[in-house]
Amino acid sequence: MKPDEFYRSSDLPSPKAQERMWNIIEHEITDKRGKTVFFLHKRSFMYGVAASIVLMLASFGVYSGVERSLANSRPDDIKFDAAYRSAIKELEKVVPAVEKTVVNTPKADILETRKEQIALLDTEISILQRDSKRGDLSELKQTKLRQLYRQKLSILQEMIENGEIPL
Amino acid sequence: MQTDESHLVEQAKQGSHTAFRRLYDMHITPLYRFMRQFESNTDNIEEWAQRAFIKAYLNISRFEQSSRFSTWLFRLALNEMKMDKRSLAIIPLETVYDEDYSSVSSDVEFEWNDLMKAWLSELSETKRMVFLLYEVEGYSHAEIATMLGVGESTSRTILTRTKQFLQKQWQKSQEL
Repeated sequence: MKPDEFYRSSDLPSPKAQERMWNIIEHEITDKRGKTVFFLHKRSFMYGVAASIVLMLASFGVYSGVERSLANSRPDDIKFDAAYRSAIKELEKVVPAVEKTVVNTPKADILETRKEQIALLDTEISILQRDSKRGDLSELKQTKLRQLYRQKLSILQEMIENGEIPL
Repeated sequence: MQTDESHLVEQAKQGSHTAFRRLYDMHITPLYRFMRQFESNTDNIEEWAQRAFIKAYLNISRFEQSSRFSTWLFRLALNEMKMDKRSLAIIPLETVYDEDYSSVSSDVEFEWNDLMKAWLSELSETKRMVFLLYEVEGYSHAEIATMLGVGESTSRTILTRTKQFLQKQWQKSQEL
């Protein structure tokens, strides 16, 4: 039996209905393809961001771990040296440079003495630091270095407490 | 025709909307008129046809051309229709089980007349589907089996029984 014999004209889709259906289909397949591409791009982008964050955190963790490990494995003398230098550096941040202060204050003589003391201490300290970097630091030298640090700190502290230099 | 359709399918696989539009033009009328026999609401028919074509386009890369495009399209559309009818309970669809109907004879003389369309409407949806797909749309039992998700022998048997029914009705009308 031929389809034309069986179906009536009312069974067939009108040209308008055909066009209406196609418009919806075309919109959907275009839209979905666009969405798929965007979704894939978006997904790739998010994976990239996530990977970067993980990599950054991992790098930071490795760096911190290595640094901590290296710090822990340093010899005691180097640890002391680093601690003293750090303390002096922090104190010098608070106290203005001694050279400038000497010129501009009425207590010039006292400060001149202090300046000489500090300069001598710095020279001694730098000599022992050089020896330390070469690995040539006997116990006697280590003790001497600590004493020098303590002296410098003490001088800076006295200068602040006695009001020899303005803060 | 078949070669032309294969070519269009290949082009559609590459993303050609023009090729897919031609496939749409070739198949929308047979699909629509077929579904029209099972649904009076044309909005529903349009909805199922649209969904079938959208699914066909989105999954066309998976379509192997061992079967006709229309067979695949009909199956998609019928699935949409069955799904909606089940969920909306518009018509309780019968479940077709594969059985051995080899004893049923297929030698039924069938003579078409206008009354038979009315007799056909008394039959179940599945029987009408098989009859229309085979006798009117010209699909083979293997293709109908694919579309309806039944065995090939089941399709053959359903057709034979439908024809027997129509023949009986025709004979009755002749006696009157």
